[in-house]
Amino acid sequence: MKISAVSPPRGGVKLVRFTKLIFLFLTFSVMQTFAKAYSQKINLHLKSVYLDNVFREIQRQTDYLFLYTAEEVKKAGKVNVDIKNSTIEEAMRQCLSSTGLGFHIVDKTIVLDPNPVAANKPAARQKITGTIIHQETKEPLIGVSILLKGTKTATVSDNKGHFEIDAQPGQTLVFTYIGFAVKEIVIGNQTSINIPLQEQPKSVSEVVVVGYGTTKRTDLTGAVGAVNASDLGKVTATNLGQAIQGRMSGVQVTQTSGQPGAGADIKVRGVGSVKSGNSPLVLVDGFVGSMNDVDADDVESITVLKDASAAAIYGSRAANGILLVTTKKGKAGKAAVEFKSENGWQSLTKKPNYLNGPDWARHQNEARKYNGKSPFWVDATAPETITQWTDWSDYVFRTAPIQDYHLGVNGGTDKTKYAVGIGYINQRGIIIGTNFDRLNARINFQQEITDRIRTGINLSYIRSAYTTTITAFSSSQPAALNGITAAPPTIPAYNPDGLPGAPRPGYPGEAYIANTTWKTPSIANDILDNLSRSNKTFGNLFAEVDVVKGLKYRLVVNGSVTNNFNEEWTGKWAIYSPADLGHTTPLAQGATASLRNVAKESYVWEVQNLLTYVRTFGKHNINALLGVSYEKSDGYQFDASKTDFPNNDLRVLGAGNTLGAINGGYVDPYSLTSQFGRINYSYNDRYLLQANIRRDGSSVFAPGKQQGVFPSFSAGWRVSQESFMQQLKAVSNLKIRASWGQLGNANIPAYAWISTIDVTNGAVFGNPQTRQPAYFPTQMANENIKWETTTTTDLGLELGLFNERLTFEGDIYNKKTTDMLLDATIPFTAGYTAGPVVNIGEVQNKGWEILLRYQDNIGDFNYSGSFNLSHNKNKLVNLGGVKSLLTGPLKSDVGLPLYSYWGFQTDGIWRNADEINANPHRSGDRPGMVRFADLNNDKQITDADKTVIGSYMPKYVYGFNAAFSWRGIDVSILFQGEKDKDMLVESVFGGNGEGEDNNIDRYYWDNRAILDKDGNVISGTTPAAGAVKGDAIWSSYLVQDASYLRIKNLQIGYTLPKSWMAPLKIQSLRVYANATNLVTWTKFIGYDPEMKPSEPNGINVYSRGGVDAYPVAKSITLGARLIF
Amino acid sequence: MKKILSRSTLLLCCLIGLIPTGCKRDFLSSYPKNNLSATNYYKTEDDFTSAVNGIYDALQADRELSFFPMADIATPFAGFGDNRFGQYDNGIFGVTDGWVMAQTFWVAWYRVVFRANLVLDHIDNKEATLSAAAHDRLKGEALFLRSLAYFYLTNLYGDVPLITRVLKYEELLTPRNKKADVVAAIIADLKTAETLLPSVTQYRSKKALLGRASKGAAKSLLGKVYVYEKRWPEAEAKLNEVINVDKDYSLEPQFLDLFWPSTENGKESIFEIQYAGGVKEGNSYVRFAAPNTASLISTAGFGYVTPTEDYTNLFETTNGYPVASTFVSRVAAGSAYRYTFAYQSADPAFDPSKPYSNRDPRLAWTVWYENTPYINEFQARTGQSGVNYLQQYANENGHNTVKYIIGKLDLTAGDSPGNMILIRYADVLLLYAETLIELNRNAEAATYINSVRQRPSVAMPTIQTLETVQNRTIITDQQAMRKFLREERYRELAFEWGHLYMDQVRWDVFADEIVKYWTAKKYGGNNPALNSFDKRHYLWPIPAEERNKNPQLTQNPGY
Repeated sequence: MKISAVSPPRGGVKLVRFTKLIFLFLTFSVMQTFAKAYSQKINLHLKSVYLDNVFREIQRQTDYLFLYTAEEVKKAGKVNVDIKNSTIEEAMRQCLSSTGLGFHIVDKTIVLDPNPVAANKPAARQKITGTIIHQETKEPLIGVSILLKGTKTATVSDNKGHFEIDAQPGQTLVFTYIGFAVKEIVIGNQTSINIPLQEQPKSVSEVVVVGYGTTKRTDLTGAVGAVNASDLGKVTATNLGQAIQGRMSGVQVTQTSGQPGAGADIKVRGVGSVKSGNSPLVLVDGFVGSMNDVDADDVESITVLKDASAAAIYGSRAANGILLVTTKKGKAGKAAVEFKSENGWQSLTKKPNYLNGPDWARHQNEARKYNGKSPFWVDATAPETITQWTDWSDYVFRTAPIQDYHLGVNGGTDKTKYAVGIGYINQRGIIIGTNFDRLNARINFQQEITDRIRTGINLSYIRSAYTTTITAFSSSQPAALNGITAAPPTIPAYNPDGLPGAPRPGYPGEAYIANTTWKTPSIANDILDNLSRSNKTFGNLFAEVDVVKGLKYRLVVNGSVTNNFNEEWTGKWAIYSPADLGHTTPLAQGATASLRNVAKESYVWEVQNLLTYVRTFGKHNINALLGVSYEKSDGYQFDASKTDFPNNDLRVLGAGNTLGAINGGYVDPYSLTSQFGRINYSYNDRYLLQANIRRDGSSVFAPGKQQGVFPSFSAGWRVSQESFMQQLKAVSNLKIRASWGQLGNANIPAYAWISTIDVTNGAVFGNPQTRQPAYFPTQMANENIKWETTTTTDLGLELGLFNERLTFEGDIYNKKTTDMLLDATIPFTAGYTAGPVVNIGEVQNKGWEILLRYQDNIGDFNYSGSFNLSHNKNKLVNLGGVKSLLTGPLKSDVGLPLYSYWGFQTDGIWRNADEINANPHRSGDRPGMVRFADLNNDKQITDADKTVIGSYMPKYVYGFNAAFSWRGIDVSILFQGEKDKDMLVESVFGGNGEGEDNNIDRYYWDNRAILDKDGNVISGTTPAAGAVKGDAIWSSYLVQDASYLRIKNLQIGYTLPKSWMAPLKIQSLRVYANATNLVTWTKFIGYDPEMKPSEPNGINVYSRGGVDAYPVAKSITLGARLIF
Repeated sequence: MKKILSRSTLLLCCLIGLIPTGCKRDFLSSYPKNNLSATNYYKTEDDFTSAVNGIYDALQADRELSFFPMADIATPFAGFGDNRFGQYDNGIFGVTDGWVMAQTFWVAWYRVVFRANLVLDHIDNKEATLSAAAHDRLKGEALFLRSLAYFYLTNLYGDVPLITRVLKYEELLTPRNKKADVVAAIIADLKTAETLLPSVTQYRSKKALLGRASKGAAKSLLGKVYVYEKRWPEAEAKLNEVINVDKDYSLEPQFLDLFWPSTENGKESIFEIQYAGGVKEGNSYVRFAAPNTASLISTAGFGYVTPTEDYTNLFETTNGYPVASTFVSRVAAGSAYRYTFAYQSADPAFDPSKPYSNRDPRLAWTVWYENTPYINEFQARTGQSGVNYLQQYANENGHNTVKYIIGKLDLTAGDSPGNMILIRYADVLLLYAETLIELNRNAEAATYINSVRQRPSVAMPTIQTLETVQNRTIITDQQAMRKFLREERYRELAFEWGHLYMDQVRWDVFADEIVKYWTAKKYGGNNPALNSFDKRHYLWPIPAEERNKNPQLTQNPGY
């Protein structure tokens, strides 16, 4: 039978899953075309191999498929083949000449015939007809091979899924189709049968991207997680990191900020390093990149290499795990054009609950009274008289639109393949004045030059621009989120004169804003303009040559160039009392405008030389890799600022008059040389062994200390392949695997080994005063620093039941980081700004993770669910004698998890003076203030009473994903959560008892201590208004439970019936609604529990605990995906 | 087969060719381009000059030592301070070892010590190629600056680690040395420094060097150290050298010129921390100490130093009569208060409704008060207009400090070009007078005190005149002279560089004065009415963080 070129399907075809069908359709027709065009000459030179190897090679050179059984190949034994420029028939004849086997070709499928003579005997037959359909979608399946078992009789289903075959009752028909489970039907009396084929679960056939190559999932001996394109498309996110959130075990993804274009924080199996970073290495198509570099619609798959065995091939940069992002490649066939359009809105996940005008005034009154001052809001200005006020959070937050478009074209011939993707995202932020634009374009092109040489190129360009009129948090600049609490709600955002609201005469409670740098959000919005742009171009170029049988050489050249430009503008401003109509006396002002420009150019290039060798010798399979690579990067930054601009319209450096304070630039070189090797050996597909070794040399270390060697070993046993398991039909897969390995980490700034003298400072002398250079070393040096080493052991179990309907994957691991690179703490008397970097200490991450999947169908109704849960326990085992590290409330000490919250345990609030006098207390304690517990019972409250009061690292991270489809309708929902996680929220929110001026969360107002005349507490559980405990006194009172569970994603889609689309020449149209962060369950008082403090390298990041960070947004979008 | 072999050989060659084996070492080797490497440094005169400049850089780091003038907030003479200086307000009572300022100054002074040690470790090396003159001056500067650091360290903290060379990582945990040893080292170093350093007259002629430590600075500091140590004969000898032998300094006729950038490093200046605006070398004292912006005095002001009526009371009328004030009331005015005091004086020319008129001119040049006539002079010096001063522009006490407040000459209110004066000639004269009083040479002492009082712009009556006007004995009464000398120092040196606080502590009057101030509750505020002050707090706490890093360090009693 023959399949014709594409034509609109005739009647009878109903609900169709377009993509798959059309794709197959295209593939087949193209194969036809090329079979004619090039007569597919075969060249084979193989010695002493089993037939399946020969077939695999023929399959590679042609587009023929083979149908045979393992027994046939075994029976045939080893053969020698030497074929030059032969047709397929000649080649097959030669191959089988010594085997006694026959063959015949049905369409493009070659069927082996174990008994060529017998097959010639005619038998009494009848014509069996039938239709083969997809069990779930009910689409007809085209090109299914149907073989009459034990004969050479075979056929293929046509483009309606129909087939005809001559057979006798009692004989067996075998249905084979790529990606589907093989099905056998014994023919009964019927002459017409409908055969539903079950699509095979991915776990069986899945090919997983691993370091410098791919492997079958079944061959894995390491812990690897993967997410495919279908899941990635589900989240509306400008960052790919968010798209994998909640979908893998052992991977914690946190949206640290809702700022448009902001990245996500990713941790693989806990944190093991204090200084060298804890983010996994991200490789985009094998090259160092970031999750921000790729449009989710361009991504084919993301693989996470979690344990040493999987990641060791990346040696020195693998300690935090590896994320492999693989972009979409061209596929042979007619050009497929896919267009996606998505539009929607984002908003706060939770609106803050600050006090309204009257209550804020009451709070201020109470606070002042508490502190012995007279209340401001009395008589004519009593709180009751306040009828109008500004909800500053309404001013700052908004519902913001988001739009996302992507156009992809994909096609090619069997020699030339291409994929093109163009995407555009525009996202307004939920904070006024924030906006993000990204345009990205990508071309992938692959060409087979000869039958031995293949080349390809991959080029991407991304331009992104971010603007903001407001910074989320800044100690020096006006900040919107600070402003929400700092600005009096009783003043308007803008006065009638159009200028930002100002304190009114006669309202002393409003006056303090005129005397502070915490400007109101409207001032900040009016005067600040920040802009950053980035242009990144990156690409890969590869050439691959078959050297000798099984041996391939691959050369890869990677490169990227990034340009960043950043502009910070602060305009002139002034606010005037509403009574000062003539604007004579500004209440507060910024006298001059200032502008800062920062431009940076950086590049990275890498050359990889790879040799791979893949051979099978009988039951022995060998897959080996040998490689060397060189990588170099550098960056140049230029930084300049000026002040005194004539007005707010001229915003280029040239217009400024006075040289600003920052005028600088720097370079940032880095280089890495690597040699690596990997060998995989498997015996009889059931005993798997793998060994990796990598030697890395890094420029961050002193000469002589640069090299590090990182080995790993792993083994797997596919128990389900054993004969004794064949009885257990329910078990379709069972694998036990174990691995051990060492990984490195040296993500530290260059030159820690050499004592450098800072040349940027100066001192002034003379008359007139002139600035002269002042040089001094800032950091103590240590020539002996070396690689940080993480040793990981992992034990894994994979189980598949009921033909892979139910799969389970579980791992337990122990990750130990030794020789930690730490900034040694040195006493201030040393005089250096920073201590030397030293290798000391040990951190342990122990944990387990499970992944459970189930999928099945009831008729047309398909459903699947997956659940992942990870637990990690982090402990600092040893600090090598160095004193514990303490930054604000974050303490790292032996026996504690890294970065534990450290402070006083609280015991409620002081109720009365007697209680204070009778108990250990701090000097100045008064009723209504937080009471600290005397943990060491020494009758006083000292630093010795401090203890661990929480940790921002969750003990459990989990996700639950459910998907349903029925006919054209599909629904998927992803729950994601973190448990046993705390967040320390600084007093700005009221947790510590707020001072007189700031607004607080209503919770702390409703529950505040109320004092009687004598100053004793009569009711309430949180501190009295004004009962500030003081700056930087960290206590459990500030620590909140930030555990949460949320509907991370909900997507409902409908694929329009194909019959409606066909006349429009549209292959497929799916419309969908998508919601991200739809519902959140949490006890956390704050914007959002998911935000977590950044790595504690600044002083403010930890303390404000998500209160001043850009809140994570909720988004709802509507989209359509159209395929031509 | 041969073909295959040759092809694979070719490929392997390509592969190997791609490995830059020959230059592999170079590929990984990179040396800093942003910075110099310390290994090859410290050779030429330029190297050592930049390294010595590095010590000055540590001295002038903004928001560190530039905040030291605020220490006077601790005395009864000024209040507020807010935030990190709030603890001063209560006379440093109740501070813990976590007190941020105790750490700030500790860090800042030891940074000075370290950078001086870097220079002193290398400057006598054979590889050093600098000229003898340069060698001597630079070494002298390093010794002076290190002594200055230890002077403040040992007077604030008592026993402190005495580190006189750059320590290796494994040597860093050193214990505290006895104060006596530290003082001995200071004295030895200053004695060396004064022989190495050129006189300020050379700097004045070679203007590029002005602002560097001079022979006079070393001698003056040494004299001061002797005074602090009550080694009166040595103090007398050293200060006499400065005043009557070398004669490098004289009083600035215009008192105010001392505190304005255009006239800094003048003839009265002995050692100043040099600041310049617009080149990243300014300080933000103005921003923190200037009055509320509503006064239009500065573009930003937190008003951290608010002189009290106790302080203004120190200033006699121009006729030499004392003035006393009595607290009447305090009412809220905006976010601050308006105070009412009743004033009285025996001076017939005194008008209680204009209590600050006809007073020692230094009052108006030290304290902002309501409708002060100083506004005109301020506007003339800054070119500003519309400046006004009302009580409520201050956070407390109705006053702000005047010294160093240079208005919008400090364009950003955080980048002030104004120098800060550590040692000036008037200070030396008064130290000398103090020494003479302790040596019972009161009459001589009176001449030096009078010379300060009779600076042309100040021109206050002599002590002899006061004795007549006030009808009391001063000069012949050592106790009275002591008291007068002390008050003269308060009048002359307030809010400049912690002199008031340091003096009160060394005279052991701080505890009594602060308790008197609290118990009077004179300002209607909520100062805790504490009845005692634990003198153990004369010594500051060794910062907790430092003791955490260096367990060898013991703590001062009381913390």
